[in-house]
Amino acid sequence: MAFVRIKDLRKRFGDLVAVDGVSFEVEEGHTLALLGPSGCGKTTILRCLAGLETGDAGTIEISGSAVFDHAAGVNLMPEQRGLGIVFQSYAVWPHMTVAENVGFPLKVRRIAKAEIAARTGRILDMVGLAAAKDKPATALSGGQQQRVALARALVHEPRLVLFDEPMSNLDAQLRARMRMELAVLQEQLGFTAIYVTHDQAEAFSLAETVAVMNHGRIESIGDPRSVFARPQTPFVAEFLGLNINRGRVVNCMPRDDADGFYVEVALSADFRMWGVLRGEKAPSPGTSVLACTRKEHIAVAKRAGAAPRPDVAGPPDAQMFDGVTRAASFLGLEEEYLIAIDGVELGAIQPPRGLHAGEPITVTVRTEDCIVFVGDSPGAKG
Amino acid sequence: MDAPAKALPGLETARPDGAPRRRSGRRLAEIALPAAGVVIGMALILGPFGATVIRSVLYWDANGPALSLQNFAGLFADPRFYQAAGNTILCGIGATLVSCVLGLSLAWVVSRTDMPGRRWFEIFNLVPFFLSPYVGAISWVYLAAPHSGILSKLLADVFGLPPDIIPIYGIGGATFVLSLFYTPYVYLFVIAPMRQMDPALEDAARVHGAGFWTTLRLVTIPLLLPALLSAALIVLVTSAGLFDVPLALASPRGIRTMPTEIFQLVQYPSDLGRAASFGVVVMTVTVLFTVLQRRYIDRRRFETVTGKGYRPRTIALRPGGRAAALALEIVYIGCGVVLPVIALLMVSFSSIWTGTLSYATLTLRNFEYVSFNYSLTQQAILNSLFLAVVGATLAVAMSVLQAYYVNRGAARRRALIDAVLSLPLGIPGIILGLGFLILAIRTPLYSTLAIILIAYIARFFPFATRTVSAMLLAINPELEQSARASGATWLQTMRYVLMPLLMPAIVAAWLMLFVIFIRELGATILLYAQGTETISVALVVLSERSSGYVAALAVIQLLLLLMAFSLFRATRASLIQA
Repeated sequence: MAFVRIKDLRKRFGDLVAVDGVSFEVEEGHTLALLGPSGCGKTTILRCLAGLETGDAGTIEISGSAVFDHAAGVNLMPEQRGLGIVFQSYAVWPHMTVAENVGFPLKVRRIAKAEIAARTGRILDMVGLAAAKDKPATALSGGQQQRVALARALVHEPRLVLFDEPMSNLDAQLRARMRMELAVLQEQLGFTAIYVTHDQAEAFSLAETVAVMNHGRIESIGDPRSVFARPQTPFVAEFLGLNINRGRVVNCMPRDDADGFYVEVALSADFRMWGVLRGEKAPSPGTSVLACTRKEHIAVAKRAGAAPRPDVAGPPDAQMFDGVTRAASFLGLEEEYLIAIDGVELGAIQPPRGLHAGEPITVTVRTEDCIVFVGDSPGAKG
Repeated sequence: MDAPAKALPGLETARPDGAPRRRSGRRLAEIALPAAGVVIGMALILGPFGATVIRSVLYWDANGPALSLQNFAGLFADPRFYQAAGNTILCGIGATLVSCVLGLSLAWVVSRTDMPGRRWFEIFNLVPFFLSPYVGAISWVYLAAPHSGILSKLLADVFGLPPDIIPIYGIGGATFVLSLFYTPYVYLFVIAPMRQMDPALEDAARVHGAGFWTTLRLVTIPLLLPALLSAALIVLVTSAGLFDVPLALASPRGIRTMPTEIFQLVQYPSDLGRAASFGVVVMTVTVLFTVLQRRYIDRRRFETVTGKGYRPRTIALRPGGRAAALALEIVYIGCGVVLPVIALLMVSFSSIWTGTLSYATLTLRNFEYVSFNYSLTQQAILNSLFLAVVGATLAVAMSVLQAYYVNRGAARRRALIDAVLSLPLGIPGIILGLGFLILAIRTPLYSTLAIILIAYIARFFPFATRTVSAMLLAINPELEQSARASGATWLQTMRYVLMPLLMPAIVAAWLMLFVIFIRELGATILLYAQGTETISVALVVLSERSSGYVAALAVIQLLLLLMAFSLFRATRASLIQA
């Protein structure tokens, strides 16, 4: 049975629809990541879960009992929901010491002082802050304050912990380490987590389920691998950083061994690329489509001769194009190129090839790696 | 009060039954307490406002009271109204101009130059803010009264000048003393933006070819203008409405001003209808000014200041500039603090005051008399302390609730509520006192300390609300939300998280109100009765008897005020512009 169950949650602020009928479930002990750009409604959902915001419709169940049910008039106060929460700002109380901050959830539960001290000490040990116990909370670095916030959210052993972009103020290295530590803590303590972030790496690495949000709706939900490998909508593709190129359908043929169609898309006068369009309905020639390609799947090499033109109609396994590099930037293990094929720009991320701007290249794209959606704008609603 | 947070259902324990019922009880405190603060505040303002307006259109003739504009007709037909209004406007404009020039110069000298001792002057410049304008005015009488004043005598004896060379009585003298006491308002308003101004704004002007004075004229002052205009409007409205100074310096020469004229109208044979109609005129003008300020000036204030903590460049003064800056500071602190205090001490230690301190007349008898032998002054000291301590406590408690409501509560009508709650900021004390007098006159509250207490709170709580609000605005709501999510009830969150965080503002507001209440005169003078005199009232009553007693009592009041000031410095809370 699902531990957290949200059904048709809605919330508007004036004219702005922040949450537009969202439903999802989270299994006990699992992590769900709400992923999306700022303003997509992910934080509002978290705040509704915590009781800091009241939805306009829908239900929220935690552990089988309703904490919010608009129709039945149920809306538990935040303190009655027994959660833990870690805010982006950490919200560590500046007038208390580290131990006072962390012991607060126990103190308001009228737990004996000795036990508070013991449990606070234990959790501070787990987050590696035992030595800072009596320091004023504001004397700590950002990363340490973040651990205080985490310890405070875990000390009363809540079975659901909410994370509101908890790592967005940390530097990249610290973030990677905290991700690992958080996974270990969750393994040890077994809480269920709902995690709001705009960082896909964070979402994919921490969560069993990732929900990508846009305009108050969930665009795509599933396990990280499938959400990542097979974007469900143009918005998800764009959010995950894929190349999105607008074009028109020229050719279409059903796939034999799988659902959907192979379609040939004209991206410019002289640049046609085959890709895969999922769905039941074959697009008619001339339909506006978006061709999405992952930058890592655009292989580039110095041009040795003209790209071979396939002489058979139909999709080849791998397609080759003549192109030119427009810009190159060295990233370390990889190199990012901006390339142009017949005037159409694409990004490519490849192991360093030592190419310079303006060099003629041969570009290879597997047909299966090009995802085609019907439509003409990735951000469009619905 | 704070029930332990029973954690929910199913999470840590099994779901308790009847949770919704307990929930409504808890929500009640969260919603009702802040709302109560707002409702009481509104009642405290609208009560005397309404009473004054209603009384102004009631006219008693042979048939009893009737609705009529007779009071206004009488007021507008009376030449004394125009004299009083004219003199008051003159005083207000004069005091505003002088305070603006002085306040701006002092703030600049202290915050942007390398004048020696500027750390000390930074503190000293605020001292007049804490002193009583009435005591300041009578000290200046001791200093500059024709023939008997300390300075007048000195000038006559040493330089052979005529003994009435300093025109301390009259509009000029009143404007001078008002300016001394309102300069710190302007100073406080402009020093913050002056400090926070991005130095790059001035640097850019210098680099692109503007000289020092051109930069000051075209960049620095225009950037400060919104803050300066705000301060100017507040000084204009409040200095014109102040009763204390005209009472001491204009009334003795029969010069009419608005506050002293209203005081006269309430004295026997009183004409409350006429007084109320005068009050309505004053309230209308004040409210218009307040609206003007909110509409056009406050709005522009955030454009100039980025809020980042810049360290503005300090300007190295040339020797001549240093001397001029230092002289300005010395003259201001001298006239505003040092000379009046010296005069008070000299008078208070003399058995007979003749304008000079002589060994033969040195005595402690004045202090002994007002502290131990005279029941009026003893009672007055106790009354003032009671009013200040209880009044400040109640007003601050209310202001915390209001600030919470305005900053954290539901967003509806917040701006309107904030505007209404700020109304008393500009209303003269004597006008609000008149409103409460009309309200209380036939009730058991009349001639009690309670009505004075209520009037004090009504007149001055907005200062506290502004101070607390400014601090609350800077506190991230997530600090409270994480307490709630940690299992604390609303009351526990207030007690353990918000109150401790707000404490600097609470202490600052409390001390500010304590100071204001210890010296309040305008509202008290209409509401006191035998047994409910305050220190300021006792000073006025005694001024007809012995200057020695007056000075001794004024010194005691001064000590109370300076004590509050040093506590204020000790808490290191920044004064909020109110």
